[in-house]
Amino acid sequence: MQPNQESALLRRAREYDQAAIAELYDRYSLRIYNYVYHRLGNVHLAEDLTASVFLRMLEAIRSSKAWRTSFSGWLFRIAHNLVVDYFRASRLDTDVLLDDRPIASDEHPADTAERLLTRQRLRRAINQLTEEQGLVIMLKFVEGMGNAEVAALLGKSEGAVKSLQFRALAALRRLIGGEEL
Amino acid sequence: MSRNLEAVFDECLNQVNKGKSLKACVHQYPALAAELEPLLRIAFQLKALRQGGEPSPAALQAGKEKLLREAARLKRAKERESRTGHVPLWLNLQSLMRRSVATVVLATLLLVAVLGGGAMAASAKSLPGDALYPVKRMTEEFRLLVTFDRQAKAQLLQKFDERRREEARAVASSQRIAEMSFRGRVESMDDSDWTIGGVPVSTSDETVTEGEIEVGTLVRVRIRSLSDGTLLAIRVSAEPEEAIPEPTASPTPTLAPTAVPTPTKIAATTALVQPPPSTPTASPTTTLQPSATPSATATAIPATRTPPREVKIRFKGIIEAITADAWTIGGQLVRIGANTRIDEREEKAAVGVMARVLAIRHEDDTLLAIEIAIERAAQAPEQPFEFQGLIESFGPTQWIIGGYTVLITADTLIEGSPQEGLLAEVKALRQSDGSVRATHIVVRLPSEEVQFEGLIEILDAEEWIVDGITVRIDAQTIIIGTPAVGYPVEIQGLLLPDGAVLGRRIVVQQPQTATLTPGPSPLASPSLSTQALPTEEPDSLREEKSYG
Repeated sequence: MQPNQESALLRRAREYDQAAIAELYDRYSLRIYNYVYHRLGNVHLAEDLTASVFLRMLEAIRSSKAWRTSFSGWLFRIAHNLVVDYFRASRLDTDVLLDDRPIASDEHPADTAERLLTRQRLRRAINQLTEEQGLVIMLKFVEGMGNAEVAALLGKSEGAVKSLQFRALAALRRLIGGEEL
Repeated sequence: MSRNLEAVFDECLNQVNKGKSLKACVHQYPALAAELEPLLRIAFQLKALRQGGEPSPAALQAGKEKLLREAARLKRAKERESRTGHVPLWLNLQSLMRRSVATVVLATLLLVAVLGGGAMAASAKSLPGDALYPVKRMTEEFRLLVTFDRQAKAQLLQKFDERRREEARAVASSQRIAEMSFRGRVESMDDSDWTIGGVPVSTSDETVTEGEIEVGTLVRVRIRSLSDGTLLAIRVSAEPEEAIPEPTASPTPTLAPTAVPTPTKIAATTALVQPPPSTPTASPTTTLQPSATPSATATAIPATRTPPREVKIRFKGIIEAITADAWTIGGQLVRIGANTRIDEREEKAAVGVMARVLAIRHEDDTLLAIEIAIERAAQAPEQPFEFQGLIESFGPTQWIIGGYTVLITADTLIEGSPQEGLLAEVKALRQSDGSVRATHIVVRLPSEEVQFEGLIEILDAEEWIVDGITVRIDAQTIIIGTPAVGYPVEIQGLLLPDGAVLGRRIVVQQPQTATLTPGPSPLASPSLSTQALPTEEPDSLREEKSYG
């Protein structure tokens, strides 16, 4: 979609035009769900938080401070903050395993446990990063976006994204510490 | 952290993504290997978070319905708010302008105190639709109010008119949607493309014109900007010539620096708008008079002539009602006089037909038609479009979905049973008269399932009340057993946005009456029976009925 078309859609959404809001939801809900799911590893939680992201969007969409450069980047920021809030409120920064992915039948239970713990450690560490570091880690390395796409979403230059990803990974490494992943 | 290291790291990432081994990549930069390798490993371990976890379509659908319900609620709240006038009194220009000069001065001082001089200065660049735009307009009104010299006031008006035209151009170039008006002279009228005061505007059949308008006429134009940058003229009215003095050769008087408060401190700002201490209503000529522009005083301002009491008005609209004395066309009541000409050469006059109107607007705002020309229906192609929204109402000929009124015809394909509050996906054609004809509507059922038991309190064909809860019945509702008021029922259904339940499966149970009856039913227990009521059948004999 062209930027003009998107801005026209957003203008309509700001007037609570249902068709425009439904279109925005159709366009972004799966991407936001995937992002939240990868942060939490739990389908039901991710579904609930995805719905919350869009309700939060609706609450704030009329505000002139809602987004400056990228609407979808703003949605990812809302998602990031809701995940962090969720972890904080649920005190899930301990070793609680939310991961609900099915266990492969041919995998040794010890391997499965190790894999789940690795993911949990990574998630816990990502939650302790700054908003921008957390977003760049997730968008670049988990969601598989390129530098240009991440830069557009975060409203930064590609150079800034390269620098940010490096600092974010270094911070992640410090948070994980000497733990072997 | 050197930029070089960050760039090398990004380069390594790209190489590994393209298939090169991590070791081989790091090997190229032996001096940086110790820092690069662990970070690259973490980067690739993060991919472990990528796997699995598809959402259920029902959950996403439920999320969308919840969102649209909330949007509908917020829209209603916003409409209520706008009806009651949500603009704070101190930002409401019209109400302010009805007040005294002293009130406006005080309000402005308060505004400075509340917003700070910086915000007021910032408002100078605001455009219609911006939060600070009312502040900008109020600042202007204030300047007009405290300018008593007619010459200076006329020049201020001229300046503000130019500002409105600049805003119109800015609104068009930023492609924002807004409504505004400005004054200017008609410079060209090429078919539907006019230029007014240097601003290109588009006129359409719906544009209302008031008075005799030609190139050179001074007009006020009300415009609506569209998302493609077009400025669509809604109304163009001829203005009395004397309202604006002819521009002088002198530059615009240098009022802005003193009249628009820019300092950020209240004390400093208030000094600018403060009238002489002993006479609060006196003209603050010492600060606002354009003493630096003596040439401005050379232009005499003639008295403003009273606008003509009767103006000619032209507009176009659909005929909505026809009576002997008056017709309603495009929402406006037009009186029919003895001399009114009805031109039916193209088409016979009828409700729903497009008409061009030339009328006289009297002082009391009534319209007397001079001529009404009926137009042949345009053969514009129908424009297909799709949208989705909650069903607000539905009837045999039209539904309202997400705020759109859509026409239902024999050709409309409807999937699912409509209920208020359900999500509908619509494929439609926008017709030449602007109406929307649905070709295909898919009604989506809500995905939140509920189950409860209770006694039937009210029983209608389409709606039951069970324990105070409305249960809607449609063609897909399966009812097992024969319902009657007072019977216990088990309801399985879907929660509708209004709190009612759309029944999917209803099992009517046997009422628990402990009355011994002489004649036992062959199918029920011989000791407990409900002779006055139908007996419950065994599962195998239960009749599955579909009501609707």
